[in-house]
Amino acid sequence: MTLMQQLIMWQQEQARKEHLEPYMVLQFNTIKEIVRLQPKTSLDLLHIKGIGPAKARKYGEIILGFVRGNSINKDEISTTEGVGGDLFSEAQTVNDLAAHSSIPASQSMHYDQETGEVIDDQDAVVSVTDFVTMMDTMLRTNFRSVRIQGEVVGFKQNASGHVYFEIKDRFSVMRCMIFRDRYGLSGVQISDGMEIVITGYPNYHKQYGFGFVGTMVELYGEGALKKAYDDLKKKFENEGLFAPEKKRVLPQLPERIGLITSRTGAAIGDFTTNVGQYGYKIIFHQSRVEGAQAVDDLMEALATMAKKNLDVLVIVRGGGSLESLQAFNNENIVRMIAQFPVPVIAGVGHEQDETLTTLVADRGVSTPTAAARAVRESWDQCGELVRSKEQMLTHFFERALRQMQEYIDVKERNITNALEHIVSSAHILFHRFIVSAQNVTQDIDRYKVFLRTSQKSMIQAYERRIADSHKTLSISHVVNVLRRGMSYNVERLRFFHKTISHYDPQRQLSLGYSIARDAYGKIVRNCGDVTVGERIDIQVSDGSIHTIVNEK
Amino acid sequence: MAQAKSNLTKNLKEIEEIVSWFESQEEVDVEKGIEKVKIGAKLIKESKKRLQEIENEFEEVKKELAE
Repeated sequence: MTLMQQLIMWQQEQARKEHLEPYMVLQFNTIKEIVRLQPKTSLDLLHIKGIGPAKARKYGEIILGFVRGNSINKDEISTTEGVGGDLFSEAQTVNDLAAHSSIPASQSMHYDQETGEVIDDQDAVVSVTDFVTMMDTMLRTNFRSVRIQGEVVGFKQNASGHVYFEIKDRFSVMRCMIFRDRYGLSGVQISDGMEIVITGYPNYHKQYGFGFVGTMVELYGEGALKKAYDDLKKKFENEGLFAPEKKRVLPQLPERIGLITSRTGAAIGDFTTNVGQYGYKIIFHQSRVEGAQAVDDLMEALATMAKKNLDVLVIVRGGGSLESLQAFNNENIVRMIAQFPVPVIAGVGHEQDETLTTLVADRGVSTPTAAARAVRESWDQCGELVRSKEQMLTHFFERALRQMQEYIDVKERNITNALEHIVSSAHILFHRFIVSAQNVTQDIDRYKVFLRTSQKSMIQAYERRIADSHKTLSISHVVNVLRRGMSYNVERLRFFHKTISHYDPQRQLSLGYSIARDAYGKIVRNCGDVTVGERIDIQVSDGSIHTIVNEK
Repeated sequence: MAQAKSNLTKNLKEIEEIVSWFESQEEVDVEKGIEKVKIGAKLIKESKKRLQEIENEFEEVKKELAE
């Protein structure tokens, strides 16, 4: 065994122990460098790309051990370079692997399980246990997963549920066992005489020697598969697993979409191109979808997806034979889907391929494209809904506008009417004003005419009167009138003089008449007007005589 | 994302309410109607924006190592 092979074997074993990917232990290029440079000390190791202080501390002694143990076979370096890491990849036929992994008879090795050290020493003697352990490790390492077809014989199941049988063909026979969990997982009930395909790895047991450990078992042949399918379908039907009332309604407007399918199949493209661009968050979990090996992947994917807080889970793959679709008819898978926390859409196969997964899913459709349509359904409807609501709203808006237009029209008419009313009223008033004004003008004109005419006649009248006055005021006329008046007045004066002279008291006194007056000047007319002894005055023509009354 | 979805659902509900309001009105109060249409138009615009093409996000997950 070359140093390269040893290092790779150790790397893979170490990775398995630490639950790491092999490259995380040592990268292939680093292994190649180790082989090329043959480091002797820890310091040498640190010069190799891919080995830091941490790796040197952790693996340094082991690696140096490998190099030391292998230093005598330096001539192999050139040959190992060409072989590369492909030697140990999984995808090799049984024959290839067997050829490459055969241990050279000339060599003897000590493989220390504790230190991982393999010492290649021709003189060393190894214990049976060590050799068996070494054999076992090599078998497991070199045959990670092999599929073997054959007929079942001597099937038995022990108390703890593990199953044991032999698998044979015309020329060979091999011991097999399958652990309880894995057997349960495969969802197949095997019995003697069945053609099966068993997947697993060889081992070398300390007590029982060589055997084959199955990790998966599948039925071989359409007939057997069909029977198993029909039996399981009936079982689920009886349990009510496919009942319509068990179907959950798909969520409206899903955003977090879980997607389980193969990275390489056509289904992933069919789904992603047809699901539309609605801003989904598509959470994808790779899974093989072909044959019984897909069961493990699907289970792992379902378990992971169950924790991803999805709106909906989609499982898709293209169509195929009953054999290729058998993972989707696996009892465990079907039950996991039935119990999945959110609704599941299954688009597995083509029109005629009806898998139990399709039947148990909340929405089972026949193709990945149909699954995509189921996801986008509510989004498309929502789009249509929004468009129809938009139309309705537009309609309402137009109606409201029309109403407003009508309202404005009415108001406009009202205002126009009011204005017209005002204008016409004003017009009437104005007309009246004009008429009145015309009347006034006419009146004025009339008065003017009247005034003019009356002025004329008045002047004429005055002129006439003035003319008349001229006549009466002639001098001779005046003289005559005055003369007539004066002679008349002279006569009247003469008459008045005679009358006045007649009644003059002085004349009377001169004629001998006297006037007696008492002491107070009062004229005495009767005897009673005086008393005896009273002094009286008697007026005569030339003076007065004062006397006293003696007797009466 | 979830925010956008709840907004869309909420918008649709509000649009529905506005449409029902119009349908329930014998004679639409024009001013109120215009106001509602304005709100509705805004909601529809937002909804359409969410419904128009938005590129999907794609994330690949693996089995969790914690198991």
